[in-house]
Amino acid sequence: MEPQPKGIYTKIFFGHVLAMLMLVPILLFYVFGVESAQRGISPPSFLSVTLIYIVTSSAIFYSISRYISEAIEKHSKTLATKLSEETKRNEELELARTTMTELVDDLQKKSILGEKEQSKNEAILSSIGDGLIATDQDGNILFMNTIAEDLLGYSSHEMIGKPVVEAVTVKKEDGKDIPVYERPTVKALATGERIKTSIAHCFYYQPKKGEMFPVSITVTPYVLGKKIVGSVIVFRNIVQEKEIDQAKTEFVSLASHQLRTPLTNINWYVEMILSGDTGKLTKLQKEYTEQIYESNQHMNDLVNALLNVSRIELGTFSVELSDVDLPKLSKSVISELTAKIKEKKLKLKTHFEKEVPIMQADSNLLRIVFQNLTSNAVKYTPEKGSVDISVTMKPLGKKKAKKNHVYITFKDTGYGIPKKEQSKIFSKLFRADNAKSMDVEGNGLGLYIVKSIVENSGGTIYFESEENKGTTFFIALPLDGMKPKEGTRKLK
Amino acid sequence: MSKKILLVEDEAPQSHLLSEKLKTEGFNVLLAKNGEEGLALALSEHPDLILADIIMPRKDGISMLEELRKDKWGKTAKVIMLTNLSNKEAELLEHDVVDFLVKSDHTVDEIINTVIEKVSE
Repeated sequence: MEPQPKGIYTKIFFGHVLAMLMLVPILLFYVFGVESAQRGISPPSFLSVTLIYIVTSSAIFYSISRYISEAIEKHSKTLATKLSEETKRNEELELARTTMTELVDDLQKKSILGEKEQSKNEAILSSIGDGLIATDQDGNILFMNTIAEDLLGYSSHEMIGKPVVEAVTVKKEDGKDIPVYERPTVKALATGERIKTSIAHCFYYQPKKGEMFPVSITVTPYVLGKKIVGSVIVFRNIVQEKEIDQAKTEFVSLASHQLRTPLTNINWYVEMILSGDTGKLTKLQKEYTEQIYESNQHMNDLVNALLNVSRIELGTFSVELSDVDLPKLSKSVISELTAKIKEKKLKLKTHFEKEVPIMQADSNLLRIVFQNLTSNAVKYTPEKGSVDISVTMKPLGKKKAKKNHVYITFKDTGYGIPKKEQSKIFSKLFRADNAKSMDVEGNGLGLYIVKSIVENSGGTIYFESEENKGTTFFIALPLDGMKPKEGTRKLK
Repeated sequence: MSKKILLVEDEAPQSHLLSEKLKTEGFNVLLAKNGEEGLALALSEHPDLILADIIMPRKDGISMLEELRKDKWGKTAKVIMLTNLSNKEAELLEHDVVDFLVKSDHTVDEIINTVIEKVSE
């Protein structure tokens, strides 16, 4: 119901009072006149009485009406002011009401959208095939999906709110608990870096019931502003991968043994023949036997390279640190190739800076890098070409110098790598067309292995090449880049 | 008196070649085709050096070595392991072998020279 406006009501009330006051003398005059006529009062007396009455009542009436008018006027002004204020307030209230209505509408819409978004996120998180746990910045569990529940054997209700390091038991292969500071979530929250475990060195989760199982864990911290506000742990059971991995390792190991045994037999017997133990050879016999020997050596190299590739891919090669003198290492590799360098009449220049310090690295791995890049330069450079090898503290290429890095460069004036094939040069088993057509021995594994070693050592490798002009490989290695790693096998 | 070398190798061509070469160098060579035969010969003949393969039928080289080390004489016997498995180095170091050679990485002469060097140490 609409409220009665107060100002209007007051106006009407005073209007009635005034009308009543005006009516009273008329009524009195009429009553008096009728009374006088009935009593037979003479017209002059009647007229004078009437006149006195009129004058008196007019004066009274005037005073009263003036007083009332002033009161009405004053009250009307107050009323008008109040009315105006009231109207203004009403307008403001209306505006506020409209705004509130819009806000509520907006909130309702947003809430619907938020709910939709939330249910969509929940559906995504629940339906992914991996276990997922979200934590806050202190590592307390905020959410876990159904796969995580299934894998660990705990329900969300049992886990939410608990610190993940207490709620989830992580073990090593030998069944011993992983120390808290080594837990991926703790590391990720402390460093802000993404932590990923490998198949070769995986952790094991202990579910509520049953045996522990190997897991691949990735913990990604999430950051708001510059502050770490939580982490997302994604994990999966890798028991099958481990079994396949083990089978593959055993196969590679056995295959390498089985392949090497006949190669060793050929090698040793041909050596005996070539050394003259079985009598003197004719020139042609010697030449052919040497051919058998060389081919056999290539086969042996190929088996070794394939083994290295499988170790790199399995992550099972070991890194053992020792003092490494890069110039000395390079000289030793060059000496193994001296015969070939002389045969091709190549000019070999070396530039080893005195400032290059002895570094802590795996000498076997760095030897593989030097062997491959030096022998590539020698193999793919035509006769009388040149090969330059340098080890410096400043880069020779276009890249900027980095702190605590050593730079190794292998430059040749060889056949070069065709432009269209340059992007594939580090791919496994890839050989450029011109290399294949030149009948140069190679298995397409060397650069793949080199790149894997350099990158595993925290270094970078790139090259510049122009067909028929030459190729330069640039390597930047951090002086403290190699980290010792227990592996099952050495690369050879 | 010539030194006694026990060669434990199942691969006939390799065994033949190595024994011929060792004989040429003046060694007295004893031959075994597997770890079982090798262990028996070692414990009865007490050779100056044992040159043994790893992958062999009946008893492999590492099992033979483990049992040899339990024997009073065998505890300090000189052993060179010769194999084409390149991943056993760490395991072999625990058994205190005098050397470990990957066959495909060495010539016959290199192997014989290692035997000559280690047997006279």
